[in-house]
Amino acid sequence: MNPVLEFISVTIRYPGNSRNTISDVSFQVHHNERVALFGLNGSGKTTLLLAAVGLVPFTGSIFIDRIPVEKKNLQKARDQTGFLFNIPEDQILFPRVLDDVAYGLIRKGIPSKVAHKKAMSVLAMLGVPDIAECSPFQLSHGQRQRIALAGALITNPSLLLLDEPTSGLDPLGKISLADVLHTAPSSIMIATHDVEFASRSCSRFLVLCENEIREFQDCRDAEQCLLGNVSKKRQGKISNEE
Amino acid sequence: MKDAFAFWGCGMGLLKSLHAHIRILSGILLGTGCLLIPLQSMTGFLLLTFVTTCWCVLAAMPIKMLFRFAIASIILFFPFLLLTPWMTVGSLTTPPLDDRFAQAGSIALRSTCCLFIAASTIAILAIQDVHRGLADIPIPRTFVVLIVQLINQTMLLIEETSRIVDVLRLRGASGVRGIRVLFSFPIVWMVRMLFRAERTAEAMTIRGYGIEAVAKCDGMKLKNADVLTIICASAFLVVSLLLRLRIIL
Repeated sequence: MNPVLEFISVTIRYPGNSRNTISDVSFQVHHNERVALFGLNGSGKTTLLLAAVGLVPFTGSIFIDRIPVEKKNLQKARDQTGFLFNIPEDQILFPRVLDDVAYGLIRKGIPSKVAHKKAMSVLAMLGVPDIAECSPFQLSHGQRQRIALAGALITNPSLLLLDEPTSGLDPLGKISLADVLHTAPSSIMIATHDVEFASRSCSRFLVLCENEIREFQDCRDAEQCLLGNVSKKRQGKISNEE
Repeated sequence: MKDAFAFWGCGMGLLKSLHAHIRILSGILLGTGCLLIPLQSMTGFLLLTFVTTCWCVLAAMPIKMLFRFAIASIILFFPFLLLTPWMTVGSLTTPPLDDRFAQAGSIALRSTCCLFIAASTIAILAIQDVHRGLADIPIPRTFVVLIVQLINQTMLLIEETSRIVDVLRLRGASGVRGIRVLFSFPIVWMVRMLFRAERTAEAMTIRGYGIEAVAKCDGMKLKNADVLTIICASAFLVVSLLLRLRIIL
C-alpha cells in the first residue's frame, strides 16, 4: 500500500544557519497509521511538520498521498492534510467557533448549512458542542485546542499533523484526545514530548536526534533513545565546562 | 484592556434582537448621518442629540461603559473648545465669541455623538455576529474578509498585549525597574507580534484562507423591527443630507 506521508532524503537548513536542522531524513507513514515524533527542544520536530506542508524550504522529496510537495502541487497536497499548530490561537481565523470549524468545508464549496451541521457533529465528537456559538476569545486554551483540532478534522484529511497537541490539556483532555485520534479515519503524525500520550495513541515512534531520525516499534525504546540524547547533551555540556 | 472583549455585545437593549446585518447597517447609516448633519441650525442640533440618545438608550450599554465613553469623549473632544479664540468661521474678520464657541462646540458635539453611536453599535453586536452580519450586507467579499480579520487580529493583539502587561506586573516591573522595562517593552512586544503574525500567516496558508471565507447569505426573513430600524436610520441619513444641502431650511 502507498504511504500517506513519505520523506525521501530530506534536508532542511534555515537561511543564515551554518548547520542543517534536519539532515537526510527518510521515513514513511502508512494508511491509518499513528506515528509519534519525539525529540528534544529545538531538535526540528515542528520544522519537519512544517516542511511536510511546504512551509519550510527543503531539499529531497516529500509526498503526501503520492502528491509531491512542490510549488505547483502545494495546495493539492495541503488539501489532503489537517494541521494542528502548537499554539491553537494562531490558526483560529474567525470570531465565531462554528464558522471557524466549518471553514474547511465551505472552502471546498459545500453549502454553509451542510458545513455547519457537520461542524456541529465534529464539535460534539470532541465533547464541546455547547461552544459552537461562542467566540474563541471567550474560551480556555484547552477549548481552543479542540476548536483547532475540529477545524483540522472536519475535512477528513488523509493525513493529520499534530504539533504538541497535549500542551495545556488536563489529564481528562488528554484521554479524550487520544480517544478521538483513535477513531479518526486519517493517518496521524504527532510531534510531542508526552511519552504517555504517545504510547496510548501511537503504534510507531520516531526520534529526532542530532539532525537524524531513528525509528522504534516500542515506546520505551524510543524513550530510552531520547533519554540517551539527554545524558549525551549533559555530558557534552559538562566536558565543555571542564 | 481585558474589557475590550467584554465590550462587544455588552448592550442589553431592544436593538440586540435585530438581525446582525441590520444592526451594522443601521449603525453605519446613523454614523454617516452624524457626520453630515449641519449643526448651525437648531433642527440639526436637536435631531442629532435625539437620534444619538435614542440609539444609546435602545442599545442599553452598561452604565459603567457609558461612563467610560463619556470620560473618553471629554478627554478627546473637549480640547476643541479650547480652540475657540482662534476660530474664524469662514470670514476674514474676527466673528463674535458666541459664533466661535458654537463652531468649536459643534465639532465636539458631532465627534461625541459619532463616538457614542459607534460604541452603542459595538455594544449590540457580539463579536461572533460580525462575520455573518457583514456577509449579509451587499458589499465586496474582499472587504468583508479584511474587516473580519482586522477585528480578529486586533482582539488577538489585545489579548497578547494584556498577557505581556500581566507578566510585567507579576515580575514586579515597577519603580526604577519599571522604567528600564518600559524601554524593552516595545521590543519584546514587537518581536512577539511578529512571531504571532508569522504563525497566523502559516495557518492561513495551510487552511487556504481566502475570499471563500465569507459566509454566504441564507436569505433570512426580516422582522418588522428590522425593517422599522433600517427605515428610521435611512430617514435620518436622508434628512441630514437634505439639511446639509439646505433644501429643507
